[in-house]
Amino acid sequence: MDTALRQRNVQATLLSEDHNSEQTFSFHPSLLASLNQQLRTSLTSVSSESEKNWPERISNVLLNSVSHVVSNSSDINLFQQCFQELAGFYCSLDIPAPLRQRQFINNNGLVMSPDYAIRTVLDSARVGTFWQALSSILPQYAERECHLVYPACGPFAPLLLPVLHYLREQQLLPENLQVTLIDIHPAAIQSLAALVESLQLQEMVKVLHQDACDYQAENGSVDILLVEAMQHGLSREGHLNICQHFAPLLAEDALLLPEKISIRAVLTQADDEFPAKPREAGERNTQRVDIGPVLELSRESLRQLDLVRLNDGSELIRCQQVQVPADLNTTIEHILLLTTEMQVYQDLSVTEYASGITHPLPDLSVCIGFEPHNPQPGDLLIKPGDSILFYYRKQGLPGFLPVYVEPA
Amino acid sequence: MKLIIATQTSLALPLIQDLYARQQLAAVWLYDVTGDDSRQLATQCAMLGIGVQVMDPEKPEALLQHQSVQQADAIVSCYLSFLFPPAMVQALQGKLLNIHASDLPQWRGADPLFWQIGEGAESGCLTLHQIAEQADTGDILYQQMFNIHPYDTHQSLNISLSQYMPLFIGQWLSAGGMDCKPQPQRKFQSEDKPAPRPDIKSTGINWQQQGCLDIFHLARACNPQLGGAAFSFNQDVLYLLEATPVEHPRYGLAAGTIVHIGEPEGLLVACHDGVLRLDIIYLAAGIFSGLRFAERYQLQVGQSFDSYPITKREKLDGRNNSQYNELCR
Repeated sequence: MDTALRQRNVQATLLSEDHNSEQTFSFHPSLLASLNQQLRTSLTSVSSESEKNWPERISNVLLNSVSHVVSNSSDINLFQQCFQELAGFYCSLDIPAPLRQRQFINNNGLVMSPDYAIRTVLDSARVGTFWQALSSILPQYAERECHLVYPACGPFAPLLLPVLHYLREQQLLPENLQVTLIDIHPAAIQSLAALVESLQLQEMVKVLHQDACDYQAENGSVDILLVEAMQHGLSREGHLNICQHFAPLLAEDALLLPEKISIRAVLTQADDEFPAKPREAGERNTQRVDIGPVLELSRESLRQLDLVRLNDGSELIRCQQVQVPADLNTTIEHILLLTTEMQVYQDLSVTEYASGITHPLPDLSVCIGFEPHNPQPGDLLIKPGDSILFYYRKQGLPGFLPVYVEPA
Repeated sequence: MKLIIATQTSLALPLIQDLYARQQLAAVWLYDVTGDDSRQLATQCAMLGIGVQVMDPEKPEALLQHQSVQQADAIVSCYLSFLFPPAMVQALQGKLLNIHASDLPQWRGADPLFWQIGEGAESGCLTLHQIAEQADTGDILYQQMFNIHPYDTHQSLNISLSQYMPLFIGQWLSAGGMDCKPQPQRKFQSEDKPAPRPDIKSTGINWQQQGCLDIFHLARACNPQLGGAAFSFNQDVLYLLEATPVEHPRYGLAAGTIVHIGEPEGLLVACHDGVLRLDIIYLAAGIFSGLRFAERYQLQVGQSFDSYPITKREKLDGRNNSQYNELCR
């Protein structure tokens, strides 16, 4: 295993070409203070207690939250409370507003601002499912070395750090576990480093400031890859790019978490899928026409991705082809939805609509059986019986690109 | 030689003051005296003791009589939207002149500067020509080139030309004034573009069709009189007063997509041919730097600005549903 991983202290390695972490902003101190106060107010987590209480408060709220989730007795308020405390801690760091609000798109996808990314904790279905999975998985590595990498983990590494803290308190944390947290955003790194220190996890957690897709390590050196860097429909963020980059670094028996992400193409009427009156919990749209899988992302499928390199240097991944039923009722206007199911680990899943990342993603550029009233560049007009081939766009804002397939 | 200056704005004041100082000003004809600017001009003329005749479109004979009384050699229309009636054009027989800010017959119309700035022209031409019955078609008496700075706005260029006008007319007078032989305009060709008053379509940004430089120039052309080049976000109309094309990768993003929000780069948006920094945005809530606007209204990278007039699909397609519109953003 890479000896660097055994380093005892938290590292905040800065990209040489990006000096933002050390950047001093020429804002008046009182303006910076005012902007930080505004963040506190917006997060409704203004604390009257002194900063020295933060380690204890964070420890308490994380232990309480994870233990409830592990014992299947969590509720939404638990995550709200967890968010409040973590957000309060984040505010207490006084990271300059220009740094923590910075957001951008790079070659591998969208990088959201830490101010926005901290809200991931509120997605109880997503976070809770990963907590359950990891609290079950990690103790299994008690007898062996394990290198867990969590790229694009954001300012709290919310799917992992609470579990590490909980397992340690339960004395279930494997001694030989080494964790690498990676994030490209300098403000996220500041927050991560402070949180790791607050939780006294420095001995096993290394924090790297870099683009996850630039991470270099020995092939086969990663035992668990924990990655959740996507929006609904596997869109916008660099999830697939990161998985692809890490594929050769995974050990033979490595775990990819989530184990499987399934994207399917579905036709439906907009009003059926998104009724004006919200559906009851568990109630589904029965008018959908499922036209097949688009992509299944798993440890196995990662090895078989069909990469297409274009003349301009950009890359696409050729995904599945689906066919619109020839007998599709064209008296109604069908839209294309990309649905997402996420199998995190074994029978632990994030089902459709349970989380922001498993909401169906409509593609309004695809017009099935009708012509749009206001045609736009990029519209794809599809008739019943036509076939659609999906490509996955890797650069910029990653996402699926449906293409009409000429009949053979 | 004495001239009457016919105008409706104080932009003509440098020329009026210069002719007055040279004792070559017969009078000022003032149109649209209801506006603040023309009233200010009337006040300035009164302070200098310059006679002012109000231009009433219903009473052209009053103007003819005034010209006769003043024994003016010519009437020079300058920054004037008043169209002289054909009878008056005929009656004055070549004494009715106009200063037009283009190399006629190119950019005939009410707003040649808008179109030249919008096209990114680096220079223009002031043309003194006789007024004919058909607007901007009369014979040319005198022309001079002028430069357009890459950062000129419509109004900054107007003001520069206003300052330059005394020299321009002074040089024409030195060259012989009314004794200069009028030259017919060259034949109008199909590539000569018109310059009508800009409408809602010509002041709107079309992200799909316009590139970085097009939008950069359009924002200048719409600044400040037109309030900026219009575009939209979530069905709200915004106005771009200043933008800068920048070197930044666009990663094949659709035009109008926000690429970057943050110091020091600012608010960066993908165009079909590059990346544009939105520097100054005007909206009902105030005037913001692009970055401050993005932060105040919590815009996210990956969201898209729409063209104007608004074309966004959900508005017209009967597929309007706030939930999925939200998801599509």
